[in-house]
Amino acid sequence: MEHNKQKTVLIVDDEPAFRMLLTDLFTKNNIHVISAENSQHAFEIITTQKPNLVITDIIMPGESGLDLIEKVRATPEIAQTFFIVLTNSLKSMDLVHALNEKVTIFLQKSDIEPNFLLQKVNENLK
Amino acid sequence: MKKDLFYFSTIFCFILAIGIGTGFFLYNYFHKDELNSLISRANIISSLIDLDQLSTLSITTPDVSNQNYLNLKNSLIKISSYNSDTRFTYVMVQKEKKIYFIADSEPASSPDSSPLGQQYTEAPTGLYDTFNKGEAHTLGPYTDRWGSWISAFVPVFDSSGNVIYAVGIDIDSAAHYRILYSVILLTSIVTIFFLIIIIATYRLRKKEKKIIQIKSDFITLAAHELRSPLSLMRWRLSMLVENSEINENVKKEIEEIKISTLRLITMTNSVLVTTATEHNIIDHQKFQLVDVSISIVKAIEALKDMQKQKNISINLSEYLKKPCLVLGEIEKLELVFINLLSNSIKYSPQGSTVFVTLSSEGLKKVIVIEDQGIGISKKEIKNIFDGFFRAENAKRSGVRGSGFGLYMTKKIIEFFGGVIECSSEINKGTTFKVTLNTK
Repeated sequence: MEHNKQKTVLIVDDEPAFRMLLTDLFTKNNIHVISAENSQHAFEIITTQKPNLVITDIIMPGESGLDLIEKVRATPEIAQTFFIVLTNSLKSMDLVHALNEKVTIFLQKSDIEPNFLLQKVNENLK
Repeated sequence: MKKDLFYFSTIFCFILAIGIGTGFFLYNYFHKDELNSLISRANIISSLIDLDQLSTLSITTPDVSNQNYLNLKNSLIKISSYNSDTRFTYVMVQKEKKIYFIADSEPASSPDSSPLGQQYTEAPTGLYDTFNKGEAHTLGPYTDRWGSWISAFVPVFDSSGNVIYAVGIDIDSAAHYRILYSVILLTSIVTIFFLIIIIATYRLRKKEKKIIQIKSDFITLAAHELRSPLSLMRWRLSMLVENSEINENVKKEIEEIKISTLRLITMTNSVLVTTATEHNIIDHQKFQLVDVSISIVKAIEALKDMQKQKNISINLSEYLKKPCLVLGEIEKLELVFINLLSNSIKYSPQGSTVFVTLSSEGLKKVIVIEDQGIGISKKEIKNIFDGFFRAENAKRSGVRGSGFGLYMTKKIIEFFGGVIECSSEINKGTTFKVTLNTK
């Protein structure tokens, strides 16, 4: 597989086990993965490496995933970044709806299977 | 909380208004009552006056030794002594627009006594009306050289109806107002007592709500904390099941662990949904029309193993095989039917049938789940939707249960504006009727 054609996904999650899990899942399916453990680091990666898609948790120490999305949306050159919110937080649903719905998918960690996420990622990488 | 504040403020204002109203009413009532009684007493005194005897007096100093004058004076002293609250009773005459005392109830030796023929210079205007218009009057409180008084004046008529004398009666205004203020004080104490009760109840309720909030926050937090590791387990197990390097036998075992994990996830989700519905965290406006048939079919699918184990057949009405839209959320409705159907299966004898029917009742959809199980006694049926309640026969049956399921079920259904009812007969079976809205 040519590396330059390989798509890149950024995973933002403060839980190392979940970052590893997603890294495994995407690497096996030939998707390049970068991971960040907090919003600040994620924002730097998005500006410098411009990943094709970002999967982010919401509740993290420091800035939340929603803060990250808002910050990215406010920065013109990366404003169109596609986000998948993958979280266990029920209450954040409303907040996500308040953001740009067109480019944000909201998924509950406990409700879906890895294949479903993979499918959503593949659909939006095209 | 705001609703509570409104409710309690309304009651507070209402009690306050009633208190003030009662105070005013009682004040006026006792005040008028006292004035009326003063007039009656003055009238009684006036009726006792012997006009013939009085007409012999010239109202000048020599009359002091006149027997008729002494008779009048003595009767006034006597009457006054019987009415302990009256300070003065007196008879007056008007001559050339001036008012003069004839006799009063004070013994002649008293310094407060008004001697015969003394002019009543500070006579209140009401007294002139009594003479000129023949009206009975009450006055006061007013202050003159003897003190502060409440008075009543009544006219005394001659045989042709002209006012010739007037009878006055005074009571100490301080004594009168002491009674009135006591009434006000008493009313205020009762009102304040009720207001304090209201405030105390409100504060207690606020505290109670706070405790409930803390409890549900704790449950929510705990459930959230559980969801993270459970999700991780679910995902890892799913990935293992699909891993081609793992042999089929191991995969079966992993599959079983995954089912248990899913059950744990469902349970924590139920707890979260219940606490969320209890506190209306979820926005009611977001309800959509969803196909309730799908959630029933999904629920039956989820309970397949349990159903097989007890060899229970589930009889679905034809109607259920078509879409049927109701207001709600698929996942939560699925939880409802998993709860109801798993109860039916758990408490039914081996090989029996559970009937599930769906019908329309006006704009509502009615789902009925009927089993041939152990039933619930009449005494206990009203408690089955209470959290953590389990019927005696359910406990004896050896079937595992927390008593949380029906509580949650009811919360979810009511959250969607629906109704759940239960009827049952011991050893015959139980029927749950769920009514859901379509609009």
